[in-house]
Amino acid sequence: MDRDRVRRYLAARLPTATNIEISRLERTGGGASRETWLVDAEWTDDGAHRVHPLIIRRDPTASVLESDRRTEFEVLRAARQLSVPVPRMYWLEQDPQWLDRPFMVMERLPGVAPPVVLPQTEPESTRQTIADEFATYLTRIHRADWRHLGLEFLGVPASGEAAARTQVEWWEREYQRQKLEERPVLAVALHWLQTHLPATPDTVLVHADYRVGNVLYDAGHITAILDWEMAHLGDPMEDLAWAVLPFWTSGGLCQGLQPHDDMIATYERAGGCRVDLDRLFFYEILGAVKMAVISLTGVKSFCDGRNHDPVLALVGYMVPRLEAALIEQLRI
Amino acid sequence: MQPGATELLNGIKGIIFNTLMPELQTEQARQQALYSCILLDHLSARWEIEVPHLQEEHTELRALLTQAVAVTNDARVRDALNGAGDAVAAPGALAAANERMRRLIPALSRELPTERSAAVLELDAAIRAYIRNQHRRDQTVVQIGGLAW
Repeated sequence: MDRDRVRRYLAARLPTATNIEISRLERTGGGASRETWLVDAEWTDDGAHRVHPLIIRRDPTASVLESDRRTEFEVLRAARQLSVPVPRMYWLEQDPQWLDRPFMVMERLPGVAPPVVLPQTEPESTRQTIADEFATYLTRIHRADWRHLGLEFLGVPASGEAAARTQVEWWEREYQRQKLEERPVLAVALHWLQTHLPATPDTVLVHADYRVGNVLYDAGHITAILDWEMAHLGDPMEDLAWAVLPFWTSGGLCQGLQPHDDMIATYERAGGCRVDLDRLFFYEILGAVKMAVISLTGVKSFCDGRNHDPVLALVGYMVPRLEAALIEQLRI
Repeated sequence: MQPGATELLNGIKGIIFNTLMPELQTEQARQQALYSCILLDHLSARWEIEVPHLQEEHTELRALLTQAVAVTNDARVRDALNGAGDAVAAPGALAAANERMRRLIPALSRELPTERSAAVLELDAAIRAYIRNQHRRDQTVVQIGGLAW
């Protein structure tokens, strides 16, 4: 990746633009599933010369998630219609001639991403505002008319237990594919999930990685909701359970925002789907398994030598912590 | 005298940290060097406990599978026990033997006889105890050296 290659790509995509320059190209530390590059591109079009802040998300050689980039691109495009802050998507490029691997180019919105949870140093008013917006935007995602948005391509689960079964089978397969050794806690948890599948009354658009670490915020407000690569149609409890996982809890506050029960109450108050605590518990177990399997995927790509980023080795050290929660919750 | 594994790992960490890191130009590269040092620090500490953990698990798995054969008469379990070797094997062989035995645990847990005799209940408790103990060993490993998850 270098400035000249990015400039040549933009020139090919913007045939009427002139004076194209790349004044900034910098890889950020985040984005364990795809490389994230900050780009400031300038060009003249219609007589005006402007700076365009962009993000390039490029496929890595291997990562913690081996997800479909087209899904993320199309869902983000559709999500622009939902009154939730998401970046404008410009191009999805599959041809490796430009930057060696497939990538997508999107608008760069203002704001910073918290490392994992909202920092404790933020004022209480910011914490409350972001907690309300976090719930409101999740509600809008869940209330989306996904047929109208053309999202059937995500796969419409049959009624009943199909949504839960699809997810459990997916993560079971991934566990079998990615594990380097047998992990009895995860195996027992997967068996528990297979034998406790809940029926889903409402099929909704599920973000599937909805957490503060995947939002940007600026001046006390959420400015972007990112990382839609696992989005699918399923049970709204899946997103809520993911948001209240103990793994993202700091100082008793889920996501650094609110205690567990308050976060659920805020979601319901914002107009979210009715919360069913049994289904929520099922998806909390699934969430811990899913997070563990995502970590194992990163470890495997590091151990196989497909990606040398030491972060991928380090994420494996989270797994026993996730398993500790499973031992407690399932009384193993 | 030659440097031991711990001294070598610490030496490599020192080279990365003191010599290479100041020369690195990008934040991404500095971050990767720092994480590499954390991993080396961890590996150096882990060196001391790796083999005792493998031996402890081996002994526990052998006892558990012996108990399981008595209750279930399962041929897979008997075969695994016959091929398990002993707890003084080289670390690689020990890890492989443990993995072969460990792979049976999920199936044993799922396929416990439905008849809840005292022997079945004891086996169920022993499986759970092994799972918790193995998790405790894993927890110990991830909490040493430069890691603080």
